[in-house]
Amino acid sequence: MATNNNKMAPVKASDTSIAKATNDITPSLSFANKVERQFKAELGTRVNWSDMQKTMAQHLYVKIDAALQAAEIKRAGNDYTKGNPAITWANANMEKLALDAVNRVSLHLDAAIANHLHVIPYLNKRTQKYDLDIRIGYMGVDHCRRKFASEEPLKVIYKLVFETDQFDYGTNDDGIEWYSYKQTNPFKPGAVIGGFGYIQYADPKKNRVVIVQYREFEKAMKASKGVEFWGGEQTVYQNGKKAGTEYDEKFRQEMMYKTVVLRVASTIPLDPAKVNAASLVALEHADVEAIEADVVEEINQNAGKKQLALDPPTQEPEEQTSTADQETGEVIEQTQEEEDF
Amino acid sequence: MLRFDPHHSGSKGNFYTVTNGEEFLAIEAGVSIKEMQIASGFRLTKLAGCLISHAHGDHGKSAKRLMDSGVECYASEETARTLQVMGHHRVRLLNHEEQVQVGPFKVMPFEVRHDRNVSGTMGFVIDSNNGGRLLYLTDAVYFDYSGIEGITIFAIEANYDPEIVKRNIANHKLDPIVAKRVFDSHMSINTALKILSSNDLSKTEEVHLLHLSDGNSNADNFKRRVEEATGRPCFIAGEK
Repeated sequence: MATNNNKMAPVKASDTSIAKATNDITPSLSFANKVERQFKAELGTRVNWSDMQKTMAQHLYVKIDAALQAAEIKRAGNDYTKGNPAITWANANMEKLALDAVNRVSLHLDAAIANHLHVIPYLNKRTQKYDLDIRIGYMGVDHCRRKFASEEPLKVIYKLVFETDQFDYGTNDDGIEWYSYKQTNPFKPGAVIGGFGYIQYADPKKNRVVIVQYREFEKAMKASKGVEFWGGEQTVYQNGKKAGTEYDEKFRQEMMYKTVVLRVASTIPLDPAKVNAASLVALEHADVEAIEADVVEEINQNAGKKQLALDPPTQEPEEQTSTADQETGEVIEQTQEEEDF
Repeated sequence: MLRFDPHHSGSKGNFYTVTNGEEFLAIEAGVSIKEMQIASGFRLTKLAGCLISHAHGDHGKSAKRLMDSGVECYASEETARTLQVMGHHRVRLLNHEEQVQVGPFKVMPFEVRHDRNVSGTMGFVIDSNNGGRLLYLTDAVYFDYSGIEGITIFAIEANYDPEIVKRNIANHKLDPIVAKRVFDSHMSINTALKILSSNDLSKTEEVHLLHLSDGNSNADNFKRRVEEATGRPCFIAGEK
């Protein structure tokens, strides 16, 4: 029987060219150097990274390596995907990765900070290589929005509001927006009812309160394709058989907090003169484009591929505008009264 | 001869009728009974039946009331369950690719990919006993089939133009979360044009575009593109 190595046990992501570092440099530094070389090859321009940015590139390597290993374990254990190529550095689309890595590092996004960046490998069926989607996390959005703001805020506060909390907000006589927030029962706060953000500037007249209503959570929940993050009813198995469902909250509260951060941060105006602002806007919408690309691929794979077993259509009767009376031979005009609906 | 009338189309509610000149068949019950009565000239009881594509409110919210008033409603089991009309004596269940006769109309239902959270969404090919074939396809991301012969009327969704969606996101007119749902549950004008080009147009008399999004479409542009591509008149549902 023919065998396919890809269907075997997970392959270690580091069993590849990137990680085969020389004795002198670490795999992460090798990655940073390779990204620099690849970027130059793609665009013909050198990347002039500072030491700090080089460190960020190394952090990105560690993040990608971990993401590849986790995805490879999943791939090998899943009947649906185990026939796909192994998810390793050797099977990664390095051209795209180099451009994306330079972009994220130039935005000062640090993969070592929680929720700055997330790495998701997607198999490109045409090339049989994995495109590594380096998505900006919600704390990454917060970081960039402040950094590339037309006026950098002094402070941005994000809060979830629970049903036992006391919250009020308004504008005082000096035109300054204010809020008051008090947690009355921190140990049993009840359900989340909404959220808010407070953006504070050197000039207090520019301070802003941003309210995030509960329906924003509902919208985000609805847009999420499953219960993996927002939770919900999940099938329970006993002895390998379905035994009903049970409610699992998963990461619902963190997802609500994430929604508050994204909604509030998106109201901080960007400075178009800052070179990275435009690229940030594109990045924030990257997952929309990824979904569009997924849908287009699904359409290309499935649309128009089936045949529908239909009877031949009934032929329309010949249009008759006049006929002759069989007895008299007189021509009779036909009028059809059609009921309009 | 088959005629298609789009009385209400869009996310606020859908209600369409087809007629062979004598009898009528309704498609969707997504507006109030009163609106259906007005659209039908107060002749709802004359309907041979009503086809319901899926369980979203803008397509099925008045199904139960329509059945209570004596009209048989045809839908997939999933749709009937979600609309909570499974036990109703006037509900008729449709199976994927199993043709049924509704009065003088032969109806071939087929499953379509719509919202991932709503299963059992269907489109229909409707043949009239005196000639004419309608392809009805809305709230679908794409159409699985091609090569259907003799379609005289296309009634298909063209919800958005991807370029307009992207422009609206960039201009902060559209929430990216909503945009993701649009891409993942509705049909673009580009996909609608591909459907038209992959089926037999030799008998086609007219094309109706349904369910245009208010903010993400351009009716004049869509109409022109369809007419240029097909050489057939194109009508935008909801426009007088």
